[in-house]
Amino acid sequence: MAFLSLQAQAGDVPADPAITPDTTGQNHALDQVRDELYNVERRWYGLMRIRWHDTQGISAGLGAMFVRQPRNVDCSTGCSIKGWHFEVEPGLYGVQAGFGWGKLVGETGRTKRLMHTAHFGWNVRGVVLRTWGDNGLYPRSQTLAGIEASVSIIRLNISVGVLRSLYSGPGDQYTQGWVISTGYGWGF
Amino acid sequence: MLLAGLWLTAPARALETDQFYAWGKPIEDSTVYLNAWVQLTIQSALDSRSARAPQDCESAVEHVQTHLQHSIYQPIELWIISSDLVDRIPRGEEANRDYRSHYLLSRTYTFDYARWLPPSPTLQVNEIRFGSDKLAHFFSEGWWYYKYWRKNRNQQTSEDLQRSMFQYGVKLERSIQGVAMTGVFSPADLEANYQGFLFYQQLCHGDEPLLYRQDDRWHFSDRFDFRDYVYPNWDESWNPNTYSKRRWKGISTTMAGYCPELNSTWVREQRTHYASLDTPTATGKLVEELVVAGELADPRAFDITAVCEQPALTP
Repeated sequence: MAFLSLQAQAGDVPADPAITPDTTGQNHALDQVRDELYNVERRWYGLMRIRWHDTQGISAGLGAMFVRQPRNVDCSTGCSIKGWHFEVEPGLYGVQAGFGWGKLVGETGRTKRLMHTAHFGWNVRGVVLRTWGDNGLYPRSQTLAGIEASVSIIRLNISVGVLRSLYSGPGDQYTQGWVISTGYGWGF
Repeated sequence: MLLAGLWLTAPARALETDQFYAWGKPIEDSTVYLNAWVQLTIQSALDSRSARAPQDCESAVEHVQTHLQHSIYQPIELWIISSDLVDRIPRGEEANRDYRSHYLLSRTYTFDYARWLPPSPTLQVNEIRFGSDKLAHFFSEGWWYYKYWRKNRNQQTSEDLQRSMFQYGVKLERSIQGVAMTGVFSPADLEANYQGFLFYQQLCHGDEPLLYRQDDRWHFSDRFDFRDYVYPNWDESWNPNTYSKRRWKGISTTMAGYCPELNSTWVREQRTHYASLDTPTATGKLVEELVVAGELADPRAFDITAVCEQPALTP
C-alpha cells in the first residue's frame, strides 16, 4: 500500500518553493483560464416556475435574475448563476410578487436566456401576495407580505413562506395574523 | 435531517457518463486548462486567507477544499460544462441534445429519475478519456476519503485504513449516489475517489508537498499535474460498471449498438494503448474481492467485449 508510506511525512512541510520547469504553455493556459474566469459581464436570465400553492392554487411565475458572469460562459448545457432576482406569479386565487437572492445551477437550452431547467437551486425572497377567490383566508381578498424560501432539486421545487396579513377593516378580528404557505412544483 | 441531506447532495454525484458515445470522435487534450483551473482556484483560495487565520498546512487545506468541493454540484464540473476552453463531447446545445437521446442511459423506463440528471460529457487528459463526473469525484469523495484518513490514521493499520476507506466509497456507490439512484455501480468512480484522496494527501504530506510556505504565505506548487492522477480505469468504456437488472435491459441494447465499432482501428488502438498503461490498482483489487465474496456482480459481465462476445484486452 504505497500511498500510506506518506504518513511518515505527516506534518513535515518544507518551506522551499517547487522548482519551476519551463512553463510557457502552462502560463498561456493560465492566462486563458484566468481570462475565462475573471473577465465578467452583467447578464440577466429568465426564471420560471409552475406550482401548486396552498393559497394561490395553481400558479405560474416568470421573473429574471441579474448576475455577473464570465463573458465566455455558455449556459445552454448548464452553468451556475447567483444573484438578485424577482418573480411574479399569478395564480387561480392570487398573485405573488417576490424579490430576493438565490443561486441556481440550470440550463437555458436553445433559449440562451431562459433557465427552463433547474438542476439545483435555492432562494430567499421577500414576497407580497394579493389574494382573491376561494383561497381559505378571511377575507378572501387581502394583501399579505412576508418571506419565502425555496429549494429546487432536479427540476422539482419546494417552497415555504411566512406571511403577515396587512388587512385592517371590517371583521379584521377574524383575520389570520400570520399565514404559513407551502408550494410544490417545477422550476425555480 | 440526514435523509434530507442525502437527498439534496445525491444528484450531483449520481451523474452518469458514456465514453462509448465519444468513440472515434476527436477531442482536444485539456490537461493544461484543467491544471490551470486547479492552479488558479487553489492559489486564489490561499491568497484570500486572512493573515489571522491559523497558518498550519492542514488549516490551509481546509480552506482550499471549500473552493474545490461544494455540497452539491462541484465547481470544476460546472466550469467544464460551460467553458469555452475545455474540449468535450458533447459540446454545445445541439450536440448535448443528441447525447441525451443516445447515451447509455437513454433507453429508459417509467419514473426513471436518473434521466432527469444531466449526463456528464467526455473529456481527455493525456490520451485518456473520462467523464467530467470523475473530476467531481476526485475533489469531492477524494476529500471525504482524506478526512477519513486524517481522522483514523493513528487508530488503524495502513491496510485496514485503506480497506475501510474503500468500503466507505463502496457504500456511497451503492447508496443514492449510485445504485439506489441510477442503478449504476461504477468502479471508475472509486478509482477517481482514490486519486482525489492522494491529491489531498499530497497537499501537506510526502517528500514534496504541493503546498509550501514562502514570504509568510502559502503557495500551491506548479508541479501539480492531472496526468499524475488520471488512468485508463477512469474510462467507463474500459473499466466497466455494473448495472441493476432493470437498468441493464436498456444499457445492454445501447451498448450492443457499439459492437461494430469495437473492431474499428480507432477503438482497437485506444484499447491497446489503455492495456499498455493500465496496471492493477488497490481499488481494482478490492472490487475483485467484492466480486469473489459475491457482494458485487462481476463488472466483466457488463463489459462491451462480453456484450459483443469478443475477447477482452487485459493489461
